[in-house]
Amino acid sequence: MTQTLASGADALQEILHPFRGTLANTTELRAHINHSSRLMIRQGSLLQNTSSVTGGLSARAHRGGAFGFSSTPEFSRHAAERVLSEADRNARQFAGSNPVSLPASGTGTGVFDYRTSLERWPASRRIDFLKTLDDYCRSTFTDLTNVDLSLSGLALEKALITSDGADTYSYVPRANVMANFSIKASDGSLIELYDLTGGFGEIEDNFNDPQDLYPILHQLYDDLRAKAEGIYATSGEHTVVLDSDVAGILAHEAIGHTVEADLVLAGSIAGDYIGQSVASELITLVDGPERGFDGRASIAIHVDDEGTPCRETTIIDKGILKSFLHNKDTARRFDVEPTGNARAYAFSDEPLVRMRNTAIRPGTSKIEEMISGIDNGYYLVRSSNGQADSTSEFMFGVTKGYEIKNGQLGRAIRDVTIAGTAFDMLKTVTAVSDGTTWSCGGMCGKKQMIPVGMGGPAIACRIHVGGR
Amino acid sequence: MTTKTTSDTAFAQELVSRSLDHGAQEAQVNVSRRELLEINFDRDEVLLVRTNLNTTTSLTLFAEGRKGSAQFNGESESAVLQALAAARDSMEASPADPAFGIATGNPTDPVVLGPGDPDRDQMARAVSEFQQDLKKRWPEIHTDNCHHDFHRGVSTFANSAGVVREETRSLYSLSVMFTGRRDNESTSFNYMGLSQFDPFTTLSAPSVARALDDTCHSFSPAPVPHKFTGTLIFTPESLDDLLGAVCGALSGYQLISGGTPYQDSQGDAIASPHLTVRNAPRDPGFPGGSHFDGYGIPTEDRLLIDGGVLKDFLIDHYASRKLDRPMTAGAVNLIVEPGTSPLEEIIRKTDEGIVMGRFSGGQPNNNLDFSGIAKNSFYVKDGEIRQPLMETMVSGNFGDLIRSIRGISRETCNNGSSSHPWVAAEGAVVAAG
Repeated sequence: MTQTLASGADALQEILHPFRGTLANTTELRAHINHSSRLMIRQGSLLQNTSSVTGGLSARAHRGGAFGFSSTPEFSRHAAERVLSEADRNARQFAGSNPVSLPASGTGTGVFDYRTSLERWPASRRIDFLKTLDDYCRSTFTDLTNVDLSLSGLALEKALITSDGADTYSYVPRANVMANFSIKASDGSLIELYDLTGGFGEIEDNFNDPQDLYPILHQLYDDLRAKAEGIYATSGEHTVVLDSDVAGILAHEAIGHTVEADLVLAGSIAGDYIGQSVASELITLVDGPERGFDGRASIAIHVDDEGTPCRETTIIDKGILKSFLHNKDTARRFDVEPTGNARAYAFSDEPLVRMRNTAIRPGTSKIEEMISGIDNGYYLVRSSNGQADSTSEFMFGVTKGYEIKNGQLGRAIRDVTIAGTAFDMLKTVTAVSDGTTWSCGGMCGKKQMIPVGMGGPAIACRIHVGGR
Repeated sequence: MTTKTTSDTAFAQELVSRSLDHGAQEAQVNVSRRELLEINFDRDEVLLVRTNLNTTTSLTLFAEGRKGSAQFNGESESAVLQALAAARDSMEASPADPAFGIATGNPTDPVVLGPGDPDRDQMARAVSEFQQDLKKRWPEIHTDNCHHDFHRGVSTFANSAGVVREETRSLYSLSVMFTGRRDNESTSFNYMGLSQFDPFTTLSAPSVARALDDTCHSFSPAPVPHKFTGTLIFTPESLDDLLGAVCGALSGYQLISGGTPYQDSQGDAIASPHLTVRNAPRDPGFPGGSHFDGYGIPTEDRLLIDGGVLKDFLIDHYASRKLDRPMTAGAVNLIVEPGTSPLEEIIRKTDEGIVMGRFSGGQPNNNLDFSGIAKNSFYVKDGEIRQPLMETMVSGNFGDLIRSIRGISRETCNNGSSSHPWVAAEGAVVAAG
């Protein structure tokens, strides 16, 4: 009989606990539910008004060097037995005679429940909140050609037991509002700019009165107007200050992915550099558990999805490449300890090596001094998406930035692309600011999407800017 | 692989009925049942075998011009009740929009495409042979995250106007990601994906072999010798990267926003006369296609761009009601019609340009301006491929580029969801990164 879908530590652990102590080496059994909601308004029309609760049970088994995985949307003892059996069968189909064993690191325990204690907003309040923002934007900023607003929330809820003895529960939410404005510039081109606000916690934890967001909307509008009358950057190599949003995506894309151990095994250039200088001594880059090194990142993770307790991993220490990011299997191959980087997005996904909260540690410089020290360059503030490569070459879109002339901020610049080779560019860093800001969003795609924490300080460096 | 416990059609119809009991005046339900067998491997080992079974249901309720949706998986009564309540609450809170509403339509027969169960032994053999092939033909290739899959998807739709649709698609697919390694040098990573209804007799399909060969020819890359404005030769893969931007500009939602450069361009020449693009979700060569959309409306194969002239926008059911224009598309699977020139000739006629394997960058903006990095690309000078490229920035306007197409290859590549040739266009700015 199909069991009811239940939520909460007690409910999910009740399904798993009968199997504690019975799992064959090496096996994981996970109960996993994703809760999401999304509203999107364009030009006053509610284009998206939906919520989703999707989950199920999964099992993963390691037999003779191969993994087997199986999942089902059912929650029941019978369903758990079925996925365990299927995972075992799948592994054995390709199990070799090689008796490799994985590190028995899956021993994490604990309940990490971050759901809100506030009264949950009904749908009517969520819609009213967004409609109020939309009405305000369209009545106040009347020269905009388009206004897109969205309100979204995503919570990952997981319970896990492993043959090593892990027994954990976590509920980790994140919510944000995105505003995307468009305006026609005096040269006839259509200019866009977005901003994102929110972060760790549910919608109720992050938002209250729509009027609280009006200053952000006004700032976005002013920035857009400046960008519309702005200039195109001059292409070429420049001295720039990358603000924390851009530096954060750089840390994630250009460095973080190259040191994911599965990508190192697949040929990432980082594999050749361990123990070597890859950056200025000012750079220490970490990938951290919980809510990052200052407790303010937008996701929380304590125990990974193989049951390994998460520990902070120093990827680059004062410019020296120190460590990769590992799950149990890559740790075995590299003969190191697992770092707690195995994460799965949906109940039907197997854990992969993923980043957690990745950032450069703050330094001692002030942003104002970093800007005033540049005669001719750019201050790059907000990124769109980015991509990395096995070679550590990277590319990001920058949607908000300013020229720097004689140490002062000048005109805004239109959309621009920055690129470079991370392990070369990082050696040009001459200053790291003393503050840290974390992005309130951030989803990483690598076979599966997953929320990640990105952020850090601002950095001054040389970088290739793709202008006109 | 498994036996359904209940008919999906009956489940969908029951949910429609319960939605009406929950206060909806109209309702629609989409049920998507997916079964997956996935073999993950690298060139030396099978790493993971994954089997998934999932049923995802979307409920949409309409009343008094309002709309609310909820999604759940499985078939438990608790999940159904939770979703009905959430969708009803969203509907009641939603602003009214006269464009909200279900579609009507005539009955259609269920569609069944592809084989029944997976041939697990053949899949294992194909993986093993591909691993041997990699080691023998491409020993410098290191793989990451390769998987060979069998999917069976049953899509079922029902609404309160009595529309019922059902489609079963079973297909095999391959996804490979890889890097070249030689001594201490790594190439850019590259990837290729394709799907087909029949089991693969070999995973070293022509498009996969081409990508692997290109990667092996990408060692010791050099930057372009100087900044220039010249020819961009899009491979089928990089064309797919950027064609999405044109589809976005032709979508009903961009028409609603007023942000498309093609707002009033229907019937106008927006591209070179060489370019003909069809939307073909029913093409028998597209396992990734569909016979009906999310509103239960049968899809159609239609011309989008015919000899450079814009024939149709991509307007779905909601956008058609919003804009008071005919509906033209609920699903998108594009075919760019091949030309008559061999690719070799297109390259031979190139004074200076690049063959762009992949485009790494954000989607072009609403103006169709783009700027990014050309990956897995090669420099062409005086009709010859001279060198693999490193760190090369390309920028321009995609609307201008499709107007300046001067050659389309007769060779094409079908990845199971789209089919494209190589396309040479003038006017891109290329510079060292």
